[in-house]
Amino acid sequence: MKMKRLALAIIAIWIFMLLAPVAGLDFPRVIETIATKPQLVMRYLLIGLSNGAIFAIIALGYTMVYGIIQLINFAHGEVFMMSTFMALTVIAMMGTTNKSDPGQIAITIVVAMLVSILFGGLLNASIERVAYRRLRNAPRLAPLISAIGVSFILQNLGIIWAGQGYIQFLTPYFGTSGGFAQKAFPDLFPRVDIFKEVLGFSGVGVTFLTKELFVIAVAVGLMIALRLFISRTRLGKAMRATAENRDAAKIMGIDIDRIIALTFLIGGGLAGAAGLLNGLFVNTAWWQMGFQAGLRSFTAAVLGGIGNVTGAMLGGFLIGILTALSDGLFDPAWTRAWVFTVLVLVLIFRPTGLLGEATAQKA
Amino acid sequence: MGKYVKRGLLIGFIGGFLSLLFGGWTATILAVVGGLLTGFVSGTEGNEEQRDLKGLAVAGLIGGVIMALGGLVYDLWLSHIAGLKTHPDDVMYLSAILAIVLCPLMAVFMGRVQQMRDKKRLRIVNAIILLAFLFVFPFVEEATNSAWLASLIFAEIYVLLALGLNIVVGFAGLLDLGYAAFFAIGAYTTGLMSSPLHGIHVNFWILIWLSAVVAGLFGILLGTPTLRLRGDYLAIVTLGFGEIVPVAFTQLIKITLKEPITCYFVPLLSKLTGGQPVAQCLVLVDNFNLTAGVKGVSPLDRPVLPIISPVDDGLSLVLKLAIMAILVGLVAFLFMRSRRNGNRSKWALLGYGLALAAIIIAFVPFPKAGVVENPDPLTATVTAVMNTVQPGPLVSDNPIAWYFLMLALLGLSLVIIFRLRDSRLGRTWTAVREDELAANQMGVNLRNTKLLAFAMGATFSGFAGAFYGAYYNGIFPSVFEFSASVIILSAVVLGGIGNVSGVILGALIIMVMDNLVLKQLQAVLNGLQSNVLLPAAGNNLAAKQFIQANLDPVKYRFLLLGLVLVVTMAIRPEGLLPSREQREELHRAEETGETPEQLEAEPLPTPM
Amino acid sequence: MSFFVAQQVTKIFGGLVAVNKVDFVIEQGMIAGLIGPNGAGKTTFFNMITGVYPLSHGSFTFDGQDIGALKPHEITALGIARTFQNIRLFPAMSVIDNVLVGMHTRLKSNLIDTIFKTQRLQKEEEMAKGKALDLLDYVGLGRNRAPISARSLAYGDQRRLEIARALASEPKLLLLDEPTAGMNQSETADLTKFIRFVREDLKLTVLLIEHHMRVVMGISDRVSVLDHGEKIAEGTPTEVQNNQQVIEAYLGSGAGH
Repeated sequence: MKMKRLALAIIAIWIFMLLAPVAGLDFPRVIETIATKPQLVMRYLLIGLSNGAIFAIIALGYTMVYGIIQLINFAHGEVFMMSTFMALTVIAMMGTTNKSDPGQIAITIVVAMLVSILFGGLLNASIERVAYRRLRNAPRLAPLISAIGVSFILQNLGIIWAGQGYIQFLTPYFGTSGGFAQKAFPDLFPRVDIFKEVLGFSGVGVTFLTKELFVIAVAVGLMIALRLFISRTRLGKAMRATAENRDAAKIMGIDIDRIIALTFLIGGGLAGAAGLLNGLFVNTAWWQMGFQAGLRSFTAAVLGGIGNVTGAMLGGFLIGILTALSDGLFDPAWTRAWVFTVLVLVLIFRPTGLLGEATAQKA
Repeated sequence: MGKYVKRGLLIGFIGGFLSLLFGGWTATILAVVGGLLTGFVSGTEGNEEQRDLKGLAVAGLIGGVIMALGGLVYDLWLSHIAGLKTHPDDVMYLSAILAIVLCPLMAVFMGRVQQMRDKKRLRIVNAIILLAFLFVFPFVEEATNSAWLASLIFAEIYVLLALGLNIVVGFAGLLDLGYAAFFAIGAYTTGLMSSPLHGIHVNFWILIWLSAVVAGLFGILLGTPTLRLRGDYLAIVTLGFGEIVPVAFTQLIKITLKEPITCYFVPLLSKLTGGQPVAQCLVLVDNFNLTAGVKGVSPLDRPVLPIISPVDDGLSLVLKLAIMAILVGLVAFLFMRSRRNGNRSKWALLGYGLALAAIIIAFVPFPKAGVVENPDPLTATVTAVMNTVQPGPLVSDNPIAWYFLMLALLGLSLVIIFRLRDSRLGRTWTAVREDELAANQMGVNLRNTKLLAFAMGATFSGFAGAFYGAYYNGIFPSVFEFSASVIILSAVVLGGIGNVSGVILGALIIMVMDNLVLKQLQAVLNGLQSNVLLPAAGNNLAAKQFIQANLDPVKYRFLLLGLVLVVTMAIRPEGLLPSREQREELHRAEETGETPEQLEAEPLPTPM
Repeated sequence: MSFFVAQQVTKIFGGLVAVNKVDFVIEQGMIAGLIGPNGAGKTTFFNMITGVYPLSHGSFTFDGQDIGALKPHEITALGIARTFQNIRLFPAMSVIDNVLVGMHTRLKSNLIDTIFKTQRLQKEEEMAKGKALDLLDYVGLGRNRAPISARSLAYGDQRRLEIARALASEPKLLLLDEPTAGMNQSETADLTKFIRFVREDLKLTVLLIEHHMRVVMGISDRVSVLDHGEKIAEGTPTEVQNNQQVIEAYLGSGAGH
């Protein structure tokens, strides 16, 4: 009944166009902006790529964990958030600001990156050890509920951490506005437009800042490193095997507990890196940021195909672009509604995602 | 005996902690509650020996003493150094003495009651004791000025919410993380139709049903995309929905709906062809402020409560109650008659008709019988009774009226929930929860079953929302955020997923902890902080700052809730009160003395 | 018109052809056996009949009706019931509740009835409980066991409960997936007698997957053999037992007689 499908599709589109403006999608305005200010749209796309890079790394954590134990690690977003605070604390300890000399800034970023990755990894692995491991054979609801509990605990820890701004070396960074307030994360990168000042293209009209390049480069680098690890190393192969068939892996002598712990470690490490990158890029740290970023990254993972590493990367960039366009062209207050819509649509019409297959597989 | 000592210590420390925080009559009230509970719990253990009563007395004594001590510590010391309200001496000592006396008394009384032979009678007696307690409690609260009543009403609302979520999560096994959305929808439906915001003023009593239905419809709407999703994904989708709804309520303040064809395609077409637009843009809705956004909706209309309305004076009130009593009696008689005769239609119809009449009379204000200067003894007595028991008329500003109203609603809800659980639908939900595929193969329509679960859960939430809005006289979107969903979930998880009484207990514990204890603890710690700790820290600036930043228990709310979830799942996933199946298993073994394995199977029938 | 007809039924999973153009006819009142080595596609075939797997090609006709496009619960309502290879009871539910769930399609009370606890509901529940208890007696579990939880039953009793649950839907066609798996000799003999009894007593038609050769050869009116998704033989038990292809399929080609 092709006609019936066509008619339904037309009605669906009509309803969409009727209701979308309520959620910020003002069609004439958007079309006009795209037509008259293409550089602005390009700028949004660039921002979207940077955001997307961060979402992609966080999404990797979700997808790896889901691929191996079929659990949505609700607390993953909070690991990201805590890592941002950790990074901020490291920067505070080293006393680096925007005005410091480039050498110090470079060292600070390297140190912060290492610490954040380590912190995120250990935190995530500890969560697995404490809250999830014993529930591995429990009915489905139990680890999910435990994950939500952990998420809440970590959010509160974030609030407490952010409230310690009275400690002397933290005060310039955390301020004394209390744990619930947003904190300013220093913008350590020189505000240099790569197109104009580095490459000498003055007529581009689109800004591309150094920090954005940094975020994308580091993220892509980490993703490549992960791909290599999974496909080339012994441990990576063990992870793939465990994800595909746990019992077979056990029989082959793979220590399942260790592999799962390793998965959480790597996923958490990536979230840790994302925490620093996000701080440097968005220049805020807030106890609620993990929740939002988590939802978006998870949507990215689902969009790409849960359990699929390449899919997570692709999904991350797509969602990043979506959020940037929504924030810029539609209405920031409704961005989460758009992301949620994507999630629901994917789950209804293509639950295996863009790159996923019927059987959960690693890339 | 050791078991009883442990019990006594347990209720003692819990009650004692609360007495320590609140002082005054708290010790006595908690002693009564603790005693009754201890006695009741002993009854569920099925041990008939006489020795139990002595043990209960000991447990009660230990508990009562600890609670008394807690209260005394508060009033003699803590309240002074923390700068909080101290109770007068006679209250303080009387409360302590009563606690020490009443706790064992109540425990033994309740324990003795539980030893009744006839189990059916016992359940009725227990129910009566519970109802008596619930009925008397608010009056005692008012009399002792404990200011707990407002929190209790809030707790009742949360109990209803927890019961509703229990249908979705507990009965049907669908993890709904966005439950607060239906709460919001119910509250806003009521608010938007009984406030000056849109100038619509629908009667509250119609509105609560409407809110419930609207919420139920949204339940179906949310449920539909989740039907084919497995647990985790379903949870995330419901979480997203629960997140979007408060955002929507905050943002729906400038809604514009333009018909797409005339407003977009026609102008586009005409621009491309260079001609004039063929049709005028059809604007259906222009810049409409639906929800007042962050400002919230307030004030709402105050409902008029049934039976008692401002116009009724003593005599007409008595008359009204009498007529209603007669009607209710007639209705009950007719129903019993119809049941016995089997010919239900005539009598039942008549019964329903009379019930309807009774309801209408309840809501109709009787005309005043005229001001009576020297009232007759009857009116005078009634008025006097009403005034002592009830300081003021039972209008909607009076929390006691709300308390009972909410209690009635909870009672009605419980009846419906039990009926749902023990019916074909309840079995279907359990089957779907345990093995969806097998249930489907047995003929269960998965889609309808799941949607019904969502719809029923959402309906109760809608009721709760309507009540919440009307009671608080204002609705603000911040109340319905994701954390609200998690709090309700914690209540269900803590109490025992699927177990109705467990869920009620869980909701009460979480609410008491969140609303009462945390706030009072904050007050106490604040007082201690200003009067004791900061001065003690002297010149140690670091210590001072540390104390000031971290000694606020309200800041640890999420931590506590999260811990409740994680710890419950880790050490007692079935919750505080195990579910019916587990309990029935244990009971059956007790009653017959057999284990399931001992029962032999009979031989299969064979053809002759 | 035949009672149950499978025509050119095919199921393809990705690249794997699990069931390949199988034709299959069952007459009313027949006990039809379905055998074949492991992985031959027997349970997949069952799952297609009951609607769990959609057909890739072919059709099923039951009692004159094409059931290929129906959902599982609709198929049960039409009168096809099944048991599972690995017992799939509702473990935490009581024995009688398991049977009552099986009765789901034959009960009519709806949401309104439930909320208002109408006479209709009460009468129906009473009748249903009575029927369920009768069924428990019928399969030899005994009505005393009604309130205990299903998971606490012994293995053999769980199988009986599964059958009781399947019978509760008053089926015309009963699909049994390896009902005697894990049973000892006397239990197997009991169950075999019971299947014959039920066919007579309830006028059922039975389709039976089995690995116990003695069972399936003993009670089947006709036996069909699947191997690698294809039907390689069909006939009376004796005919099939002596079929060379069948022997090879089980033992590998080159085996003796």
